[in-house]
Formats: sequence, structure tokens, C-alpha cells
Amino acid sequence: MSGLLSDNPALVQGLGIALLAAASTTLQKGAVLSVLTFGTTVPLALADDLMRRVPAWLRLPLYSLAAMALVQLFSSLWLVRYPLLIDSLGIYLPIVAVNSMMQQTLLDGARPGGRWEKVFRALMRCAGFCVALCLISALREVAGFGTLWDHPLKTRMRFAGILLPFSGFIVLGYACAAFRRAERGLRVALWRASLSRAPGRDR
Amino acid sequence: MQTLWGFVVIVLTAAVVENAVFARGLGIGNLADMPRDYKELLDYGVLVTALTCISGALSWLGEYALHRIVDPAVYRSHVKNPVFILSIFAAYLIVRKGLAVFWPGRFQRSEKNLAVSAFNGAVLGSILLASSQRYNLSQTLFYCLGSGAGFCVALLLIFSGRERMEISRVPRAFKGQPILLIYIGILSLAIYGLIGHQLPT
Repeated sequence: MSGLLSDNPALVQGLGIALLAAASTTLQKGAVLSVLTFGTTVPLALADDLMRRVPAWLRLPLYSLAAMALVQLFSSLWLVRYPLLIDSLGIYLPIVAVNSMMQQTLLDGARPGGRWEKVFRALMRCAGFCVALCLISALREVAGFGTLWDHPLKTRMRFAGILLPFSGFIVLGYACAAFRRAERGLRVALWRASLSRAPGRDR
Repeated sequence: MQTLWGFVVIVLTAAVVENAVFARGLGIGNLADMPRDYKELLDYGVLVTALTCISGALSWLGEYALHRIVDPAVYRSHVKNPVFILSIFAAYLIVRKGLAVFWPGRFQRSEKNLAVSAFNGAVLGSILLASSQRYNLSQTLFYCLGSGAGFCVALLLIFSGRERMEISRVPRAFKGQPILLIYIGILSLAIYGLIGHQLPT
């Protein structure tokens, strides 16, 4: 479960910055990129046993080639139904195939451990990354366009600058700090709760 | 003279206006694992530049060959991205073999980073952008060179900022990654203003 909290790939480890800071301008884009991230990382984590037979220097290239094949498959399927959305992702669609979050998760999978354990770990890391991606995308869409999933909201304030990459970095920086603060607060609260429940506390 | 000036403009556009790091956030997905020494960082940047140039040239040749066979619409939606990643793979094999044969010392030093340098958002992003601008082979090469040089400079700027911030007083929650991201954001904003963009109103 650490992929969701203490080892969150987006907010703790700072992986996949291109998708988080530059591509995440609307919730729809965030959702498409999240599905692609899941769709590439989890199947490749399942193929980990096969990849362990490959020399180490060839592992990352093969992962990237396979990920690009999957990205191409997904985008070809979606292109028929959502051509504008797929087109609006521009260069960030193929960039998913070389996403550092995926690479790190799959290369860490080369550590010893059961197959399902690794798949579960990949799932949790993807979930942690995608929650952060969708939250940042939603925030930027609300502040920048005044919409959420393309539905207009009743807000009057528009900060068009938040849609630009520099704001993406700054928003991500603040999100990382807020997450760190919240996680530390949670740990302290849990520690205090465990202390108060500990036997012999009343003596 | 005009051609030379054209190349200078392409290099400057790729290095500053369309800087892979500050304009698109490419190639810095793994900040924590970046080299922590100027020399190593420069080595990494040079490696990324070489890989970008070679894969840029290969992707241009692939695109040129396939454009005559495949329908342009089909090529753009289904063939282009796989061709580009295969070009990067070919560039990776060429650089790896070249270093191992001609520069074994350097190969030993950079073997660990070689795959990460090749399969990196900065390399793929640069060749995708060069392709979208319909450059010819020499223009593509200059664009990739400029993009790699811009990436190197961006890494050095980020590294020097990180060094200074490590010895500065920063609120606890912002230490490390968060303050570095805000720093990159401010640098990105500075470059955005420097080149004369106006914020959307």
C-alpha cells in the first residue's frame, strides 16, 4: 500500500513530472493519461518473469517498446470515439511510453518477490500516481477554465496562467509539500493514538 | 549566410523557446536519481544530446521512407510513434556499441545511465516536435542539437539551484522535491517572460 502514501510516485518521489506538470490541464486529459498509465504499467508488471530472462541492458528498451505498442493500441481504439481529446494530448500521448513512473516501477519489479506481489505493488503505485494526476488536472481545469469534466461551474474567477507549464511545476511543488505535511500529521496522530492505547499508560 | 542564420534560429528555438525541461517538463521525470556532480551531469547531458541527434536523424529517414508507402493520415495516427521509438532503440544500440568499441572507459562510466538517457521524455519529445514542424534532415539535426543543448543547460541550472537550496533555510514541508519544483516553475516563468510571451487573458 506504500505506493499510495509513503512512496507515492508522484508526490513523494517526483516521478512523471511531464505528465503531472505540463499535460494535466483538464480532468479528461488526466483521466486518459491515468488509464494509459495503468494500461501500460500493469500488463508489463505481469510480464515481469519473462523480462527477468532478458539481459539488464535490454530490459528498459524492451519495456519502452512494449509500452509504446500498448499506448498505440489504446490510442487507436479511442481515436475513433474521442478524436479531439486524443489529438489535444499532442506529444504527451507517446510520452506515456517513456514515463519515468512506469520505468521505475517495472525496473524495481526485478527485485525478488512473488509475481502477484509485484503486480499489486505496480497497481498501488499506479493508483497513487493517477490520483495525484487527476487531482492536479481537476484543480487546474477548475481554476483555468472554470469547468470540471467540461461542465461549466458557477465560479467567476479564471486564472488562465495556471494552464501553462510553469504553473504546473508550482502547483505540483505545493501539492508535494501539502501531501508531505498531511502524511506527517497523520503519522503523528496515529502514533499518539497508539500511545494512548498502550497498556500501562495509566500507571 | 541565410541558411546558416536559419540553423542558428532553429538551434535557439529548440534550446530556449521550446526548451524540453522548462517549456514541457520533459526529461526530468527522475530528479532524485539525477547525477549529483557537475561533470557527471554534463556527461549525461552530452549523452542525451548525442542520442537525440542520432535518433532524430534515424526517425527522419524512417519517416521519409514510410511517407511514400503509407497513407499520411494512417501514418500520423498509427505508425509515427512506433517508428520513433524504434529509432530511439536503434540509436541506443549504435551509441552503446560505439562507446563499447571506441571508448571503453567512457562506456563503463555511462553504461548505467545509457538506457535511461535514451528512453527519456526529452529525446522522444524532441524528435516528435521536430517531426511536427516538418523540418528537412539538416534542420532536424540542428533542432535536436539545440534541444539537447537546452536540456544540458536546464540540468545545470536545476543542479546549481538544488545545491544552493540544500544550504538554505527552507520550511520543513518544502525541503527537497517541493522547493525544487517551485524553483523550476519560477525559472520556467522567467524564460516564458523573457521570450516575450503574454499570459492568456
